[in-house]
Amino acid sequence: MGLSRGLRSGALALGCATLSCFLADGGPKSTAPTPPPACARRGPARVAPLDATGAGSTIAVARFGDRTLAYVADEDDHDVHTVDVDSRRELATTPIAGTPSQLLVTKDGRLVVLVRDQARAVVLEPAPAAEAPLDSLCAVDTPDEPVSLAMTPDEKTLLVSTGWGHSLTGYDAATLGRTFDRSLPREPRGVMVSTDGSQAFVTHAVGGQMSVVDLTTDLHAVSAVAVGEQGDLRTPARLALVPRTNEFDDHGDLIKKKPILAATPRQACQGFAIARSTEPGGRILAPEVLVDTGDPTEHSNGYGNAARLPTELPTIAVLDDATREPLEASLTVQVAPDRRVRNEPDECLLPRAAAVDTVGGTLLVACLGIDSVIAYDAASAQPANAELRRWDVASGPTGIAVDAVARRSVVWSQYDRTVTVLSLGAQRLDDPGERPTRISLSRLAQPADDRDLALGRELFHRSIARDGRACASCHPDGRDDGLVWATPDGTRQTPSLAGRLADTAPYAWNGSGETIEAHLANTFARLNAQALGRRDLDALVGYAMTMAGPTASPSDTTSRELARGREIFHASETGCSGCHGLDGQAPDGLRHALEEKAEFDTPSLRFVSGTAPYFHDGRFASFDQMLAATDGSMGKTSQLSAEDKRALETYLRSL
Amino acid sequence: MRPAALVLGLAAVVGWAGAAHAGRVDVSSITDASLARIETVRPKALGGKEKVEEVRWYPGDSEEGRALQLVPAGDVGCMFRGDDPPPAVANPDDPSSQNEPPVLAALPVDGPGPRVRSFRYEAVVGEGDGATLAVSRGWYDRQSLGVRLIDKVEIPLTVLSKSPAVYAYRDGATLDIVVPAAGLTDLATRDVEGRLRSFACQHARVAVPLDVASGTAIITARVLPPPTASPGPMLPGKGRRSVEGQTKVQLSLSVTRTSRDVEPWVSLAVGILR
Repeated sequence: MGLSRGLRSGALALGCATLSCFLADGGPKSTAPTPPPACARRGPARVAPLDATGAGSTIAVARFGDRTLAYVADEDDHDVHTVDVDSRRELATTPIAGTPSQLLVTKDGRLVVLVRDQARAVVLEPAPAAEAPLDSLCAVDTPDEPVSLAMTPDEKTLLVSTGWGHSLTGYDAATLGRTFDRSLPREPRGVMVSTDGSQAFVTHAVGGQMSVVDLTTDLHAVSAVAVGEQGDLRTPARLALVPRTNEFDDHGDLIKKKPILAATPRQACQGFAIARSTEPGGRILAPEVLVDTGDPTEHSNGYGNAARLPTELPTIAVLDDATREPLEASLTVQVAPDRRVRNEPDECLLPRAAAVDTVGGTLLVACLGIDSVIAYDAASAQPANAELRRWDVASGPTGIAVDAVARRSVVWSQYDRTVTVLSLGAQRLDDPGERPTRISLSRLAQPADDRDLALGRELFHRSIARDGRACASCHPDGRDDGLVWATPDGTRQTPSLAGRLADTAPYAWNGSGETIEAHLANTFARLNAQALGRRDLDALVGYAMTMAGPTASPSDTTSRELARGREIFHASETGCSGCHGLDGQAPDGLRHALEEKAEFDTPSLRFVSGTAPYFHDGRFASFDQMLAATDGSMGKTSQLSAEDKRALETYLRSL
Repeated sequence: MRPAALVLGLAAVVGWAGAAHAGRVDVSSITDASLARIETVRPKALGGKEKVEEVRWYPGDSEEGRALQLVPAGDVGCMFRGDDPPPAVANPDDPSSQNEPPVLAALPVDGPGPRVRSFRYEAVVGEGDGATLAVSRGWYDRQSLGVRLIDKVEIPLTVLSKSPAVYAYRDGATLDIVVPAAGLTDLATRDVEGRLRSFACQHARVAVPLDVASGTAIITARVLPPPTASPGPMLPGKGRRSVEGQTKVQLSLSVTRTSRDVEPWVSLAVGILR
């Protein structure tokens, strides 16, 4: 997530000057299918992708004549950088009107760039000279917050996953005409197509599952695959321990092993990255984190009460891309013989990007927080336990791409604005010739307060807790992890922060933090985290308070249902706005007794539709359930007709 | 098309320390030994004069509290307990205590259990493509000290990695991985079910079932410094400093089979632990 400064006017003007199509198509986004614009390449194909899996990232490598170029999506400066990997020189920047999230080089020589906060995909092509900015071809609308893209093996369909829009959308790769749009569960992130092109796999930042979208028929059926332990999981993640008791025959021979119980329920989170193996093929590889949120029947000392193993453990889910089934071993937590019971300080708990080195057979995972790229055996049933080596990279690695021919990988570190080039052929860590090389990219002039926000963002993602957790561990992209934790106050779900903190004091579910600093001190104590110095603390608070929320499409203000819902929300009879304030975004700052012996601070309802489950302990899966169960204690809605309840929900979803 | 059998990481690995590599093979390329299951009924007692040339009794040192032990006659190899039950787990709630007894080059004569126990003696013979695992199985009587051979086989080993040396063979529905201890110390394994085992003999062996979609085993070890290196002084509370110079390595073995695979894939990753 970029620094929360919104669009810089300078970048916007520059972007529109270059991408003239934006000015022509700058009105409100239409929800109707986009008519196919003229997105075809105008000149000859000058660039060819070096990635063989059709995956998007914040960085891509391609051949341009006899040069190898890296294209970088820079979410802070709102541009795409062109970098010559061999000469380590930045060649050009192409302004983008908005925050680019991912890009991809197509085999026919175009670049597709997603613009996260503008709900668009723009198509560019290289100019005759690599030193020139990219030329604009067209732009098309996407659902809200496009975050990841992938191309099908036949190069006919471009797939775009959207975060706040929670969808997977297909586009004709030639015309960029929209071909399908499927709704998915919360917070989709990475997308990858199976080897045979028959299905698309989509990771989710929260929710413990992966979505699989069928690409073989026009129905585009969606199914879910559990990749952690949650609810009615088919494949529970469990702690593999030695059998506790065995049975023996009369001769003392072992006849049956009884498995130890000890299933420790762990839920999957941090599903951002995804890749596909090639040799052996047919495996989808999805780095994630398995979380032990603690026993909900017990009060804990912190967040979760994992006594035996760390609260969060990194893993890499491996799925059979034909059957969609995960390999059980990949979701089994199994510690190495001499591994200590607590986490090492450099575990990959914020995996953000992945790519496969097809020649070396390794999976490369870029990790925020520890600023590392880790190479795993891509053919392992449990890649997380088959680490081969790791490299330190510049701060904030958010993207990775592989140049398999030259046996190297390029990594984009957003926070340090640096491309790191890793040699994949290196076998000896002590060979000085194989050390990573770094290419620092240019940047726009930066106000002083932006520098503090940059520091705050880095701190937000830095491993600060003793067990390796960062703020972003529970608040991916500043939002919530969808989990309910055992805490000293009882079970509490993680609140979303982005766009919801300013002017909503006090903080914490029980309102115990009169200021954000006071609340942070309490949180740090619960996490057994290292204390921050004053400047760091100020920077972290500054970043947290200004984190941008999701960029949602404007609601249809002419909708009668929406107007009716708004009317109901603000009516004295229902009493919603009495506590939550105007449009649910000005809470009264008071604590209310909703349960015996427990009072709760009124939360902001900004972006509430994307924060399920609901209530302080996440006990309600839907608005309906919550409003019915709390009638009388939290507003009064039982008198509403079914139509009015629908209208109220429509209004709540618009906040 | 499946690749031909492949020796992992051969070309690129210059030396042991500092090398990390991965590789994978189709399981059909690995030697199938399929050791016969021992159907013999456990004898109640053996005659005291029964002997087996592969093993001998070692008197131990009573002053150090070490009792009579069954050891390899040639002072090489490892002694396994056969099918005798493992001891109770020390603390079932602590994963770090889920240890099986270490595999040594000796089996003690004392302890609970039946009078006649089974043993499995094995040793890696030769190296590289000519390496074999010599296995002798039998019974020993802890009262009469008689020893009886059940069978004796020599299993050709498939090379998975030359540096470090890692071998494999199939035994029915399991894949056995053998890692000679030459140049290594502190060999330990964690098998598919999470059992930990340490090896204080000439090799480590761990099995992974082949009849499941996926399974993993982990072998860890420290690489011994070159012979010329000084062991370093003893430091109070810190042990020998020589450990600081040793590279800690992890061999991650996995067996996977997806719907697209005709045969399971065996994958071995050699990584360096931090």
